[in-house]
Amino acid sequence: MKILALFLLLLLPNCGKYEGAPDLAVYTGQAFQLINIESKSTRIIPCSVPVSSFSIAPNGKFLMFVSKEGRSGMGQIYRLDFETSQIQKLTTAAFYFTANRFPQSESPERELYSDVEVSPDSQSAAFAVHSVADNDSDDLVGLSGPIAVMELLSGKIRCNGLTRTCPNHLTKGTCHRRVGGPIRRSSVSGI
Amino acid sequence: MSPKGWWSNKEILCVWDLKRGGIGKLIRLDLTTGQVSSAASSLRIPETAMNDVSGVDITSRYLLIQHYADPTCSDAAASYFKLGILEHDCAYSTDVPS
Repeated sequence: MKILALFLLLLLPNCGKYEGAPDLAVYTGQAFQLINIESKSTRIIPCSVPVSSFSIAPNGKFLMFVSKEGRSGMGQIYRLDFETSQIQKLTTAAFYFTANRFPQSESPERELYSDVEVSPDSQSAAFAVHSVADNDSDDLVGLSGPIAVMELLSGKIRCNGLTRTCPNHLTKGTCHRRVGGPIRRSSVSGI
Repeated sequence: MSPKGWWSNKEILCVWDLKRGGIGKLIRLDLTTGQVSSAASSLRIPETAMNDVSGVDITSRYLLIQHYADPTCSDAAASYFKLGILEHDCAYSTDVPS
């Protein structure tokens, strides 16, 4: 019984992690190096898309990354599957900074994303949504949108609207927000 | 506002960077309610450790909070929090784990 308990204890840390899961991933500029520390094996998966940041799924089966586009360093969301080495683009059209949501005259040039993070159960990914004008205003203020959470199985994205405005019980003063072309400085109005 | 790490499957730790540049206050977003709150109360970490945060890393044992130390230099300070200690409501430690 004690031996069985010890065996289960040894298995627990790897619970839910697949056998070929890497311990470490390194982006070299042209590829991802997947390193398994115990077996000292390294696997290289070429990646033709410039990468800004990435997050490995805790189940060790894939990683998500943000491409590097334009001057802002933000980009689209991609998924790299370790088993098939396939790279899949998960974001295509804008889903938040759309003409429906914002008046046409204030509609930004394009919607980009940053800071992707995979959830502990490897079922979802969170990332920040931005609208980018590709001019100096991006450096000065940037365009914060909401935090989006994507269900990876269905591809369904939901935005947390509260994260778009500054919660006044956490931040005092003014917040910067630009909607569309011109830069606006708006007072904190709460949630 | 940028997500920096998942505290659980329903909670995300984010940095609210009013000054831009990815440095700001660490807050917690509850996905079930949509509410944002200070990360200090839920993580039982001193409120001062929530300011000027530039990065967060969460493992099964540790929570690493990186701070932007001085606006005039590029040095960044880091605080390590042992998750087990947090659960037991003890004082936080800035010791680097060996």
